[in-house]
Amino acid sequence: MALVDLFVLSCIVLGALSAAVVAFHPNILYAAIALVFSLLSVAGLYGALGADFLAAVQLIIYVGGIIVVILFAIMMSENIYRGRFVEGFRRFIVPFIISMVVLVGLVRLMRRAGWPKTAEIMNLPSTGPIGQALVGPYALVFQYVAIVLLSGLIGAVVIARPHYTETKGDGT
Amino acid sequence: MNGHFASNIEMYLFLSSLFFVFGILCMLTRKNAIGIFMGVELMLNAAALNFVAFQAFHRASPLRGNWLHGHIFGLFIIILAAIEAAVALAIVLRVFAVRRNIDPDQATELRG
Amino acid sequence: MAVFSVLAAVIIILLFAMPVGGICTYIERKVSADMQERIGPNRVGPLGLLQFFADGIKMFLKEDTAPKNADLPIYNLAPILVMAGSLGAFALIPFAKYVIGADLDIGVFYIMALGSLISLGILLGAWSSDNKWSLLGGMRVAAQIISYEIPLGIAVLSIVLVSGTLSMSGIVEHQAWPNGTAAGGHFWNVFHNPFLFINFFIYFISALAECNRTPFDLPEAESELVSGFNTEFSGMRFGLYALAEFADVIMFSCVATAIFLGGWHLPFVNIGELNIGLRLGGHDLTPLIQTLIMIGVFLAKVSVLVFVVMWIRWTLPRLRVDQLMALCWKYLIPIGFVNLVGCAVWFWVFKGASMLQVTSRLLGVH
Repeated sequence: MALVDLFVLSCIVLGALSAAVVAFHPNILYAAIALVFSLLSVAGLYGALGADFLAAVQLIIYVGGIIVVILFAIMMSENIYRGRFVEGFRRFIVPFIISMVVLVGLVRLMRRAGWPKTAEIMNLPSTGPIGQALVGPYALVFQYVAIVLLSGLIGAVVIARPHYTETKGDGT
Repeated sequence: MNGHFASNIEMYLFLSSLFFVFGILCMLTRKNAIGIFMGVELMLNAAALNFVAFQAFHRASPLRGNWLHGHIFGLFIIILAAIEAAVALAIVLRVFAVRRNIDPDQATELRG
Repeated sequence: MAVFSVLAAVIIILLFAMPVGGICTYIERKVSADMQERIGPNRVGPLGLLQFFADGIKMFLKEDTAPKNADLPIYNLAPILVMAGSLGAFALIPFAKYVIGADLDIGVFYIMALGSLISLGILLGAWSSDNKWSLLGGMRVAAQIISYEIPLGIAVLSIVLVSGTLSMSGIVEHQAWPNGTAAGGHFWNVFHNPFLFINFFIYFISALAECNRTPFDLPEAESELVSGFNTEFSGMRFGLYALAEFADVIMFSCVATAIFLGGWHLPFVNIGELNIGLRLGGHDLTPLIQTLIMIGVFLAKVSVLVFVVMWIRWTLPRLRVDQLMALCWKYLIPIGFVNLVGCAVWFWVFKGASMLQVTSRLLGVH
């Protein structure tokens, strides 16, 4: 089995197992760490698909940014039910049916579709074309996303900053 | 050069379907607002993986016109997921500061 | 067959990074002793050279303790994540012209991506220790690391702007001195234009903050937080954290050497065209000796930078955490952005020529 085959297969297995842990584990911190591994597996798959720039972006932004923010939120919102597992599986019935329907539908669509199934993956450098596209055809979208980021950041700061009340002097 | 698994698009699409389904399960069954958010992240990753997989298996030529549309879509998905994480977790922290727990089933003041 | 090459690369990286990290601990103790006018370790082996060996054996033999309420899976995972992040970047460092573990097209970008694994590992380790002071230290470290990744990235971005490629060997090649002329080559990137000169210092300060070295080591301050996030780790787990910190220092110094200080290039010499002319039984030894000279030059520059890092540690006092954050967000990032724009303007005005090339064209020297 070629090395890239082994790599892709192990990324898929790691991703599937980690996603299962994210969905089912009662402890939210373990779920967050399993999310790290599932994001790492997706980054590996990006590398195998020839998207090297996107693999590094996934690592920096998702693993280094979003997961750290999720972990901060988990550690700071330590709820008082720590250790108490939520019992019962009744809450899984309807979501399980929905997800099985979605999964079967997606797999059948994938099997019966007319797109090309196999191809030789070219591993050409992708940074240059992406950069040129961002200032070429996708320049407007680039500017929109910048505005969305700015407004999102301002909104997040406004929501999360401490609110001083009038009774305390210079609040905390 | 590529083996039997790595050059078959169905492997990547199957994993993204699995991620999507696990994201749905996570989002619908978690009792923690951050857990729901992690389901959303899984689903976004599934979509981005789909985009990149289709870009790699594009029919005519790999870099047709030299624009990597699928990669750029994936890039924007990652960027927007980042800002969504910031806003969602700011909201979660605010709710926690007021109510001292982030169980979405108990935040029902606006219902009805 | 390919599995063997991967295994060989892994073993070589481990055999390089771990002993070098250990030797760095010894050198640090000797250098600090010299600056404090005392003698460092001098009992174990000649001049105390085997001290790091003895330290390693001690750490291996310590009892494997953990706090009672520690989260054991995460407690065990955290040092591994930190070590993986530190060691993973050694594969991309260009020691000589063809001596590089993996010449990725996204070289520098991948190295920055591994820094995020390090912050993750430290945060998880601090949480799993079940110790409020460790948690405080760990959160400060995570905030510090993710804040200082931004000036680091801006400095690297200005280099990429000038070099036109993200790959490490490409950036080093860009600083070559071909044909022995001042107008042909570029000399080192740090002297390319004044903005890159300042960005080198921004990179250096950010790298110090990324590795939690003084003056930015409040999170692991030995006098304030009882060793911060390291408190509950003992034995080889602590050894992994300490080695990862030194491997981090060496890695950032290697990257700084490669992208700013010209990598394996000597100033007025084109090493690739040195005519050495040694033969050994029918084989031409010239490429081998050229490669060895290149590796020697690279390691010499890295050693100078690592010595400066240690020098700063024992000279400057520690910054408070709000001063640390203020330095990053209020000073380094604006200066970094101004320099980035300045680099772009210089690149556009002089069409990519460095200061040296501009002056030599003005003076008419060729």
